[in-house]
Amino acid sequence: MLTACPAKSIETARAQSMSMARYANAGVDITRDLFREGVISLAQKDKIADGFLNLAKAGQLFDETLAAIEKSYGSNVPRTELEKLFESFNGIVVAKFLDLLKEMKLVGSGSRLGEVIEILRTTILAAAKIFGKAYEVRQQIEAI
Amino acid sequence: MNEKIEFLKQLISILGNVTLAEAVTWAEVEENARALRAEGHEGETDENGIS
Repeated sequence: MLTACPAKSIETARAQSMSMARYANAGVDITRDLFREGVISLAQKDKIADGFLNLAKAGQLFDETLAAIEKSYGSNVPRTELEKLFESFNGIVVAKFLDLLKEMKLVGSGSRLGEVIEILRTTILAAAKIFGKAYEVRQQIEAI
Repeated sequence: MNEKIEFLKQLISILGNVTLAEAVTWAEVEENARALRAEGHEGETDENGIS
């Protein structure tokens, strides 16, 4: 059930998407450092880079969906559209994040990457909360 | 001019304790991730022998 104000939800979703992009970019930079320092192998670096690449594409798709909804409805976004937006968020961004999380677990949560993943996790949960779906998304994350 | 802007940024940061993190787009993340993916594969050739 969606309880937040639709217009505010769109605005907050956009802000959360921007935060996630910033943290994801930090994650890419840290991965590069770890690879150059020899902490992770070429194969691990490649898998994580692929994960961030897919997450970045999903993020762009989510932003495009967000913009399309806003263009169509302005500040009067129907709740049904917000439901669709969440499905888009859950189906593309969260799914790609979960793939990335699996790769990260191979590297180890104690590394600097673990910190970035924790920040990304918190941001994704905050975004899911906008849609009233934090519990659902948390369950998916914890299932990994 | 740039020095003045930098000075003002620092001043705002100190006075307001504001984090001046630059906004990053998902497109920039993709570009950064693509560059990371390519790292360590320099000089490799594809199946057609093209590097």
